[in-house]
Amino acid sequence: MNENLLDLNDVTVSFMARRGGTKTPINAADHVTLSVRRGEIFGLVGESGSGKSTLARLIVGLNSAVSGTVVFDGEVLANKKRSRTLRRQMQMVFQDPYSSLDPSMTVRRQLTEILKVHDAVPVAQRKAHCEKVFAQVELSPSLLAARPRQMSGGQRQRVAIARALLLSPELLVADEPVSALDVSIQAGIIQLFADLRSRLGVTIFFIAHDLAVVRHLCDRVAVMYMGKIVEEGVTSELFANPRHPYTRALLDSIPRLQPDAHEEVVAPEGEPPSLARLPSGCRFRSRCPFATEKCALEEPPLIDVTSSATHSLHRAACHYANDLEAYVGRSSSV
Amino acid sequence: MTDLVVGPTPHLRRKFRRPPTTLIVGGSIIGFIVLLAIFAPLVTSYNPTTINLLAPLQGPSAAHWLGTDQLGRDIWTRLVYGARTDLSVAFIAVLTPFAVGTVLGALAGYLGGWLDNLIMRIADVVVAFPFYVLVIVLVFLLGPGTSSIYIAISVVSWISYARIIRGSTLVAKNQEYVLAAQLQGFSTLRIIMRHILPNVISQAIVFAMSDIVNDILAIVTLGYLGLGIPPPAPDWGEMMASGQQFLTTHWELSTIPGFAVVLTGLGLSLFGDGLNELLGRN
Amino acid sequence: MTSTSSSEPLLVVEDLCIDVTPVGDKKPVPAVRNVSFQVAAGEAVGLVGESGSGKSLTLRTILGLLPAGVKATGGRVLFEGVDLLKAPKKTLKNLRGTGITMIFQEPMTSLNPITKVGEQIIDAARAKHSWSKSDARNHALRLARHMGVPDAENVLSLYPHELSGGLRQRVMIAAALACRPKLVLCDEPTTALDVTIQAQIIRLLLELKDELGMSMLYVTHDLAVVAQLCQRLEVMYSGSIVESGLVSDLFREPNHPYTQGLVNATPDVDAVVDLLTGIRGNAPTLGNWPEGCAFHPRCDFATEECTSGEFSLRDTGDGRASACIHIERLHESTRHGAR
Repeated sequence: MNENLLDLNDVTVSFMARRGGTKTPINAADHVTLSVRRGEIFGLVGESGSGKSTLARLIVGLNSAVSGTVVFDGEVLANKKRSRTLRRQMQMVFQDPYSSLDPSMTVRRQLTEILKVHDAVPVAQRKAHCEKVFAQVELSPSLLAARPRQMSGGQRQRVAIARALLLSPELLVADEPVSALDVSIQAGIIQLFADLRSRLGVTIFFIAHDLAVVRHLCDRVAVMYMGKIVEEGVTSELFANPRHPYTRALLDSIPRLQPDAHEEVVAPEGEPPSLARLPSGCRFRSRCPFATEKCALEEPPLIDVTSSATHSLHRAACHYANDLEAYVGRSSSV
Repeated sequence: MTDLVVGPTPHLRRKFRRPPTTLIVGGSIIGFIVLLAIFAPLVTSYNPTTINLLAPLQGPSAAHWLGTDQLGRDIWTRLVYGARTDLSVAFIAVLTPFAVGTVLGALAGYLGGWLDNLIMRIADVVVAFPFYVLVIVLVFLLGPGTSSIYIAISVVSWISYARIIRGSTLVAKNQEYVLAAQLQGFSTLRIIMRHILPNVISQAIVFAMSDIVNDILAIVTLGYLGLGIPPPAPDWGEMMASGQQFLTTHWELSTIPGFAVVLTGLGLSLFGDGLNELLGRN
Repeated sequence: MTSTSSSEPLLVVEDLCIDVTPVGDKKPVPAVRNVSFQVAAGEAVGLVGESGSGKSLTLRTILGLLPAGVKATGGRVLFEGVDLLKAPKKTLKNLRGTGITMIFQEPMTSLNPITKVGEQIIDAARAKHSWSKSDARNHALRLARHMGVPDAENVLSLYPHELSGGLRQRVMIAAALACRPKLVLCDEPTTALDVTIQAQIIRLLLELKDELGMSMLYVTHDLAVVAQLCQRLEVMYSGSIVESGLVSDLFREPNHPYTQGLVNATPDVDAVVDLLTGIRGNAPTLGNWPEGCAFHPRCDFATEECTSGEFSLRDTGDGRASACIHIERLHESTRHGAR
């Protein structure tokens, strides 16, 4: 049994994007390498255009990579063609609870259909199985008879998670599962993911645009920008000691719930470049306060910035990752 | 905090909401006409085809509520039996295009590619001809008769259904629940039949309501031109045609069936609108 | 910036009630009930709530921008003393632009997609001032640059769909502020933006607020954004205000279990607190508000008394108000670390 449940090896996913009248190829994910260990909750964070959703879809087979391989439990996966067994082992939770459930069917029917097609559970036990899974996501079994439109966003999302757990998958890919929910409901779902990992041992690949959410939930985090991984490490280490200027900019941009927070609004400069016309060298250099000539000439590789104190693997794609002064950030007041 | 999330929420208790007015009004009109048609023998006292040359062109009276036509036949009876004929042919005529168009549209929308192109190009060709012209020509070529009417209408009408369903399918295809079904490895057939069609078919049903009106008009037009449902079955179009020569003296012979067509069309349109609104509420 | 009477609040909302008639129904359902608050000149007030709280409807009522089926059925909305709910259309029209203006959440739908963005700013400016085209164009350029639009000359000749979300938002702000309004209504203008762009827009709004001395009424579901922008805050739940006061006071020590719940549920990127707790249950839907305090089914401190009666804001001193009758119990449990 491999320690790594999922490996992305130098994968690139390319699309044709229409700009004006012409079509140009863009690499939504560009030579991405990362690994997810069995039983961990791995967070992938980025803003729009970062490529995080693209990676999620690649993993589950909704996209294909033009180069590189996706390896699941030691087995190299073919682009898009997935066996039934594989589909059982890898499930996805989508972002929008209002469109991820079929509006015309009751919840029970949607769940039993999956059991039927996969022939995973004998007919006589299907009802009990659905109720068991419902209990795992803290939903009352009476909701099985409901249709999606009769439920709130939070309930629908729990149903979506239940659907993903039906076949006891090894990997759950969650594509921004809480972004569309009210904050008071969001917390419950985040806690649910944590509980599912502890109770069921399921590995979770969690995509988010909100670093704060990831901090509460994930063991390790990777930050993406314009199709590339710019930093990756154990959560506590990455947040305490971010070594890529973009990660720092992200952390600084997040508004804090502190009383006099308006006295220190920090915002990075400029706009992200278009994926069709990326700057030479480092993609972040047009907005980076530390950029030098070298940044325009050479694209920085992911270098090891593991601190000798913690020994937890930490990588950042910046020429100056090891040389940047210590991050002071906004938590200094605490 | 692991207590079960409380359910059912108040949403589950179905609140009765009054159906749209258009649905009620349209439904009543159509319902009334359909009931009359079904119970024709009970609401009329004459045979629609029996000729009585002794009492032609009589005005309304206690014996003949709407009078008699030039051959002494009771107009009210012919009107009601005409409803039977025209409505039943129209309802049946709408079923084949509905079924064929829906399936082709769903396939075109979901699968795309060459199938989509093929279906849509055939549609473009057919639609280049005006509806009535094509139907009349086809009936003429096939020879007058009820089955010719069914065939002609089917050949021409399936396109609208195909287009409507194709459009809705294109949208539904990108909904996350369809992606979820694909991820589960569901077959294309299952996805189209179980997940796409139930969510898009309401559009086709609503359109079918107005299509029935179209079909009634087509049947009536064919009847007027002598290409319609073969005699002696009473037919509003034929009634209007034969009453034409008496327009100046006994205008009611043509006008009354005309009015029946308008009323039926109105009822179906309103009903279709109401249905659209009702389905849109969900 | 001198105001005629700086002691008079600029905007006073008093006992505002809004009803919604769902499609197909005849009976209207209350969506906002007895909402009262004020905005002083030069002040930024946050209106915070989640879905179903009624915050957007409240905001839109001020400028009369309610959709079909939604009506204000009671109360007053006083802007500089004039009741906007009863004012004739002409008064409202005159107010827009120089008196009150609004910034929306989705610039793609609130900017005209078939007009160049420069034209839209110019139109906004010329609506209130009789400028020549070239004067108006210069003003638009200046405004755009001031809003941080890079390469303004070029950008103004583009259409909305050619701009990024952040730029579109800057353009919309430029158009909204073209006539230096006294009060800016903001309907979640940064919710659809990436967090780094959101930070830029927040900083821009703060700078403009100081520079133009304008007041802001900022609707959002994001407590942290409110902390950055506003001095005072009104928390809404199920159509009513449940707590009100200074941002610093409210977040330090909430006086309402719902506010406490929101604070506890807001993820903390600095991980000062490791435990993230939500609020159990679901927010009631329109027309299904519980009797008594609307929050009681989800509240850990609710008692029998909370299940019936009227629950309006009560002054708790220090410029704060709360609709809760168990503030002491709330503070007790927070003090004991139950957070």
